[in-house]
Amino acid sequence: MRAERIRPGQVVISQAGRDAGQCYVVIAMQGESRAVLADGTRRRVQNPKLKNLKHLRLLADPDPELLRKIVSGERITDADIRRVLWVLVGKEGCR
Amino acid sequence: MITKKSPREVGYMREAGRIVAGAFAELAPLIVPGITTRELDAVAEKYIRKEGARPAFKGLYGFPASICTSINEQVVHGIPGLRKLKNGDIISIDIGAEINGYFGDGTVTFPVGTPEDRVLELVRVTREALNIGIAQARPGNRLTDISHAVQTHVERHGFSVVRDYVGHGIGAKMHEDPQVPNFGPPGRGPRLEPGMTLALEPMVNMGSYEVVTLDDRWTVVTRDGKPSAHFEHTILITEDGPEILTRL
Repeated sequence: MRAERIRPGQVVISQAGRDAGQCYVVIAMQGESRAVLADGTRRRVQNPKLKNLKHLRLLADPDPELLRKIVSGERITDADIRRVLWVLVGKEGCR
Repeated sequence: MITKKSPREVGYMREAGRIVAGAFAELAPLIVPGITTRELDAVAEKYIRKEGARPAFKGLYGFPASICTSINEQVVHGIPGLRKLKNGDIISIDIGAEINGYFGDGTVTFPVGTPEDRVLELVRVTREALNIGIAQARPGNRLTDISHAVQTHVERHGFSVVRDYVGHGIGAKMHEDPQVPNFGPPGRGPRLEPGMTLALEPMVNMGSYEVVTLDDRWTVVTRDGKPSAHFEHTILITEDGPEILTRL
């Protein structure tokens, strides 16, 4: 089966730390073990959060429009991230 | 969450595993130059249905056939079609069966006629790597003891282990927790316990471990175009060690 690795564009949920339950969009990877995360409100693209992959669980595959921006190197905006996340809030344990 | 299976569930999985193994026995004599992968798919599906089971891949995530047939540089998820097998090919056939709501999953790479020696060695080492991994699937070991044993054996022979596809838990679903990578350091991950059921499936490339997916959105091939082999068994962890469910 395909390995469920965390990749840019995906939506993840924090499973450990004071932000447990918080959902984020992965905007980039840092090395092998950390993801660069933003939620568009508390953690914006300008001030993203770094988090160990061990403390994240995959929630949803990349939004197609967001993935296109990431692949083409276009800038992701906080509005893009909020658009992807707002439909998930309250579901799947997302807060 | 990793589920441990009850004796009743294990009984159903033995049945599913026996049918997967039986399908390989049906296909083995047919794997000769000239046969198409679509014919192999039809034979396997007929056998699985005759045994009262359902071909588990048909429709799984939208897959269009009953078995996966991956030839030479194709690593996994090849779609059966009109391509004919040629002397010197290798073909990996991946078969899943579901009966009473429980699954069995197995893969064998068959040589077609007489492939080159190095290709045959790739097939042999991949089969050995699976068996070495299975031997680690005993209570008290940790999950990645399996991963590490597979990688060590493969790399000792100068081949590489595919990273993007991994083994998996199996039971009431085809793909359950945990993921079982075929690489990495030992001694990590959950401790193995009796009643866990896993599908271990090393995919081994002759060249680099990098793979890409073709435009059909299914067929995964090696990036460098060199051949790849794949073996898989569904196993049960017992007090006494591993029991292979997909073996006749």
